[in-house]
Amino acid sequence: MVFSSLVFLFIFLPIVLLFYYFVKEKYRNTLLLLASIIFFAWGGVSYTLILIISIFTNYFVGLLINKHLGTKLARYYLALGITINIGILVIFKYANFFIENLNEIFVSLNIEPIDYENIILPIGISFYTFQALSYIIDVYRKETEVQKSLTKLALFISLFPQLIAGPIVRYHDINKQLSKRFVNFNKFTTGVERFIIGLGKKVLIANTFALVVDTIFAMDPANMSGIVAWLGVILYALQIYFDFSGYSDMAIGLGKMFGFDLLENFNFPYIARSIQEFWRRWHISLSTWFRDYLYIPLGGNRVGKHRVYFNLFIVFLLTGFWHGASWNFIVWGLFHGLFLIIERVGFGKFLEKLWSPIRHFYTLFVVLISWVFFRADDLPYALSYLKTMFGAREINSEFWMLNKYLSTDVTIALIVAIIGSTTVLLIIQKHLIQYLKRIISNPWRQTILYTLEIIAGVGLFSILLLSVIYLTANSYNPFIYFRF
Amino acid sequence: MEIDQHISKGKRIRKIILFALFICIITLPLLEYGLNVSNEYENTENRNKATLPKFTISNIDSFPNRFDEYFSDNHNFRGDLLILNSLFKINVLNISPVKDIVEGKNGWYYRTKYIEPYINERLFNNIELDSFNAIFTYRASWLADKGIKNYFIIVPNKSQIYPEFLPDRYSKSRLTKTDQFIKSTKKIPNFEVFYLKDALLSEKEKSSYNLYYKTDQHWNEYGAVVGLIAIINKIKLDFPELQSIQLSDFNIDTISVEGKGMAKALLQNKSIKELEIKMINKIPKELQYHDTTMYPIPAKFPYKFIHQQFYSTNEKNLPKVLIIRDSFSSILKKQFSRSFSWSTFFWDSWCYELNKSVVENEKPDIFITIIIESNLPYIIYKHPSARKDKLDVIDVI
Repeated sequence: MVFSSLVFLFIFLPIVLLFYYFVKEKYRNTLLLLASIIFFAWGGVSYTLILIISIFTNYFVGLLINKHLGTKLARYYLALGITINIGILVIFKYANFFIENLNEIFVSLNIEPIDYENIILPIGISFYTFQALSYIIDVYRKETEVQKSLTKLALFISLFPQLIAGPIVRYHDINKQLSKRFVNFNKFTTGVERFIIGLGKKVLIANTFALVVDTIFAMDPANMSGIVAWLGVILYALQIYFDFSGYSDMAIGLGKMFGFDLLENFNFPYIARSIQEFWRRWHISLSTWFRDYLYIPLGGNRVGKHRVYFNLFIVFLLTGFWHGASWNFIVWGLFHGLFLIIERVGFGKFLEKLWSPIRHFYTLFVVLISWVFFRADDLPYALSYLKTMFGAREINSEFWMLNKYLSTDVTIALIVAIIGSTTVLLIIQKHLIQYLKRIISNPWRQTILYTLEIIAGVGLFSILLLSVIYLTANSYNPFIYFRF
Repeated sequence: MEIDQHISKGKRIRKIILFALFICIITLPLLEYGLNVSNEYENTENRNKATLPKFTISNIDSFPNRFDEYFSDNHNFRGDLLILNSLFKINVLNISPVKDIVEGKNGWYYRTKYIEPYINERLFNNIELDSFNAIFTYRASWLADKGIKNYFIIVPNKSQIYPEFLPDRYSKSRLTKTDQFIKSTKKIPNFEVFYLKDALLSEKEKSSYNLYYKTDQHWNEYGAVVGLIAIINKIKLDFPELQSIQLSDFNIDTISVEGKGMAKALLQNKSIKELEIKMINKIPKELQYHDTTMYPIPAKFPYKFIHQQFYSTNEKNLPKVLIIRDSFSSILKKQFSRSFSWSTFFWDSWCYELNKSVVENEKPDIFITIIIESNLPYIIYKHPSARKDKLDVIDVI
């Protein structure tokens, strides 16, 4: 199930909220666990078995590690746990990729290729596997206490708000909330507001861009003008940000409705002034996961510079691979890794001396190029697309060519998305309050503040209503040919 | 401090209102099953709505997806939300809520596929043009051998006649597929393409009536009669016994009606009006309709009752005609048939084929294909409803 679906909004959410606030507090975890399992099963009932295996495995591995803490056995149990988790990931996410590539080698060597059936990727497997790994590693490192309640551990791994698209919750960040969490009217409605913002980001902005992006990326780059190719990748950059951060907003908002405080996953990544900064702002829960469980154990920054570069290479190779089992994602990850290494070699210090807009331009330029690899179906397509972007075709690029794609809704979404990708609104809000404090006399100040709050409320309600309207309209397939 | 208190109080008011509205919106569809306050609407979709799936062990994996489809299609406020969607997109965003429909200026609507010359779509390639050549060379020769006169008539897209109402973002391509088609088939013996664009544009200059509907992709009765006059005049060059038709043979009546197909698809047919132009023959010739089925009807063809239609007049000296047609001929069938002794209208699932068995059975003097220009590719690729698979394989003959 996804949050931006009518079944979730109109059936699942109201029923779960109703039961959650009517059952006794001691049953709430069990209720949420049951709801989470149903939520997951909605995306593929058979795959629920994998989730359940993951829950039991990590529960018992955690207990065994804890029992033998300080001995070699704990290390063996950790290794066993990691092997099982990574094994599940390899089988269900990467097996097709490995076999396909092996077969290509076999064919080139005239060896009989391996006969295999495509394995369908279970939803959320990368997210909950990484969460489970963080738990057993933290227990081994004594950074957290072992969870003796199977229900609580199961809830940690499967909690539906963040189950299928993150943020990747670390056990020690949520441990206490599994036992005791509070929710009041203010927290609940903060969650509602955050959920509505996320829903709007996904349905009204990301989905609007998706139609144009899909059209442009379905075209042959050889017949495309450069300006259209740039529009395609810029819209894709905004689409993926608003899609993914919208999902995280919804997850955080839903978490609050049920009393959880999940950590932020995005912090205006497109205002970054270097690739290093970009990764401190983009998919924060994944980058901190790799930092804590891979980069630092590999030696982090406290090793020789060549080893640091190697560590970065490994981390970004795996970051790319985590996103999907294809060469495109590997190239995307390595492309980012390459620029991180370049920045570390000395370019970063040079960058710091440059005028801020140039640093923004550099970062956005690198990020946009990388999104071509991320979005393209395969590497040849990505390279052909990049050729078009950089004017290697004899096709005119004129601004009027964009008219076809920039209809009113896309243009409005583009303006909102560009503003929403920056901190402009936060800065305006801050200055407005300061201005009101300084300038306006007391009775007017109150009226203005109330009016602004009501405008914000109406705005949020409009976003919710429009999102529901758009979701409903997606299923409308009219019969235009009424004549006969 | 004081301002912070105001902010906090204002926020609280906002949160209370938003909370109430949020709970209302997410619970209403479920509560509605008990309250039943939503409106019911006519189904305007070209598919059957999903039905409630049965939950069994064997469909355990597919059940959620099918339930999603069922709920999306059937939740109680769907009709109201679709109306709101149309109103918002048309009136606020000034865009069409339906992908296949483009909202033009002054209340004109266009279907995307009928504005082809105005969008940057690829032209026919040489393989396709060669295929047309092969197809029509064969047909022309086969028909000529049987002594049948062959006419290929192209009805222009609405956007060719009324480009001025298209949104500004559409700019015309210099060359169209129709231009390519006409040029490449010019040298085929016994084959001539007659494109009605000039006849319609010329009448558009003179007349105060529209030739096409504003809310439908088709020409109206006025446009169809203008087309008919041009077609009859063309055929009359080879068959002088045909009686000329003129606009003055008709009384013209107008009536304001509900918006047509595209307005209906936008769920705006009540609010968007259409001017129906009735062309009433001053002295109509007697015409007999023969309600019979002579040829098999393809299972997938949606308009089975009009797949084949037969008309006759009492003037046996006039030629017999077989027309391979699409929806654009519907409106001129009767007027057209009055010029011939026997007229067979055959709608072959938008494939515009030679239909040899029909020709051999009908033994017409005249074989006419009337095609809307955007459907030219179907001659080589076939209409999707008639394709055996999804592959775009060129089937030459």
